[in-house]
Amino acid sequence: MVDRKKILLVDDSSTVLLMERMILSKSEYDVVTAKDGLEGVEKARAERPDLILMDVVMPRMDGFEACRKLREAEETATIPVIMVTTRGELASVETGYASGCNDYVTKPINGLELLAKVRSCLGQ
Amino acid sequence: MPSDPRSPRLVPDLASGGEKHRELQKVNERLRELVASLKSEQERLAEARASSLPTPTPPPMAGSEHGAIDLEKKRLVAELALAREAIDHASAERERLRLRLADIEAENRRICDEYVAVEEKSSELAQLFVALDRIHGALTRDEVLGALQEIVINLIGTEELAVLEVQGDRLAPIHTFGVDPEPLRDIALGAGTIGRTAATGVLHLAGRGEPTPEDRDLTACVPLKVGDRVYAVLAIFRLLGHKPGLTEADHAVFELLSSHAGIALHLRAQTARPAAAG
Amino acid sequence: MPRLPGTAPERAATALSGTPDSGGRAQVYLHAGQLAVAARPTAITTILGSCVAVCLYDRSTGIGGMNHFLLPYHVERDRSARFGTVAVPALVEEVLRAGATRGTLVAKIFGGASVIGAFKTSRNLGEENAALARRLLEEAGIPVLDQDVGGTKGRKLIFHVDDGTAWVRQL
Repeated sequence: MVDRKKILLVDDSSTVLLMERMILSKSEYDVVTAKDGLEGVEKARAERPDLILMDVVMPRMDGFEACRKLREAEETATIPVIMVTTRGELASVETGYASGCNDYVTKPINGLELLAKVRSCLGQ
Repeated sequence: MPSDPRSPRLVPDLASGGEKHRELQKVNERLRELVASLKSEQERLAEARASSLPTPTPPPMAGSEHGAIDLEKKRLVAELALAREAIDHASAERERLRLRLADIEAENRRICDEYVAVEEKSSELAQLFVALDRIHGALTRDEVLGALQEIVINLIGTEELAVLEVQGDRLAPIHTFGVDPEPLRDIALGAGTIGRTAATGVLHLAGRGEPTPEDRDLTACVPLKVGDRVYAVLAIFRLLGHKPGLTEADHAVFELLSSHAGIALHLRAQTARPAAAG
Repeated sequence: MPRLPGTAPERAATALSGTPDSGGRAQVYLHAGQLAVAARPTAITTILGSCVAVCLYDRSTGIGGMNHFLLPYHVERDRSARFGTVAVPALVEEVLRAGATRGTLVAKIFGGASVIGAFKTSRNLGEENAALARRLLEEAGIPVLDQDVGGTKGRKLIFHVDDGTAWVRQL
């Protein structure tokens, strides 16, 4: 039995969620989704994913805040988070790292790049 | 064996190609071990040959000793010939294995390139599927416009866009994001890049032709058609800072939007609120 | 490929002592997949996760540049600076075109982190990127003066093209 990895996708855009799903569907991952940071944190606690792809600008709770919440809670503190951001600017990326993200990719998502980072994060 | 700078690079580990790649890696490893063992064998034989060479000044000796030495010499010469043969054989084998290794490495690279090309193509198709799904999954005109905006932001990479509807011989903005709608309020069909796109139905991409000063921020102008008729124009202004330019995949998305977004807007026209502009 | 020439006024390079003070240099932020080359005092900043940045500078002319690549090997249909096999030769070519001398070019390599550094397996994107940078620079005959690669943390990097000073902070 292959150890199937679970990935949590957090984004308020259906377009991005669908695109991420399509890219990740090429590999054997279990995918769960959340539509904003708050739901993302809840899902992370409940589902204990192996990796989280986190959007930045979202309603209710943005990606930075969600990341900080994940790092504060013991059960989610070590889950790798890849920030998926429209803003590749210095300040935004730096804030992402300060919030506890492990790596980042910029939108529009490039399939090759995302898969390479996801696999690397999952040790595959 | 020292590390070979030509050593095969890692092929991305994947469900389908991974097995083959691992097999190739195993073969590579076995070949390396074989080459290493042949090398050490060659060195051993070379040492044997060196130690069997006659000494330069043999001391004087009796006749029976000469006979024994001659015999020993002959034996050594025969052994030397055998050793040389073994060395030649090992060298030929090593050369054969070296060529085989080069073949495997080339095959390895080819598979890697093919895999990556398939992966890229697959991403492009995914983009098209997502765009189609979002546009036709929208139930109202506002939802189509919202989907269009999301597609342009997230799949193309810009936060400056406008959708202008053809109304008689004029164009009027029905949706804008990240740009001031004022200068776009009343554009005549055929005027400027946006008006020309509406009049001709031909996709405009920056860098082709001389832009007018007011259009210099325009990256692309996509005619959204219903059949041959241009229903609206999607104007895309500056791309995101980290996006260096449009790609072939972006062009494919534009083509899809051109033939599908117009239809979706047209079909849901009755769902528009009376004052939907801006 | 974007090439961002420095625009700061001519002035003597200010030596740094481990601080990120730009010393009046032109500021350039380098996005992933881009490269920047400057013939005037310029501070190039970037943020690296598993990506790798190669910094080049020519001490005889003060010309230098930086790339920031995401993946090691390019594909036939995409020869952009997102790939190390494109970004490293392109950077060398660009600094030479800007007037640098090959014989006095030196390099520094940064980035290549891995989220799961402690449990690393056969494939590690960050390590692959860093190894590729080292190999390509060796093949180009450019000595690597300094490198800070690997680990599990992202890095903020500021590079002064005119004197080759690099300031790195783990994030």
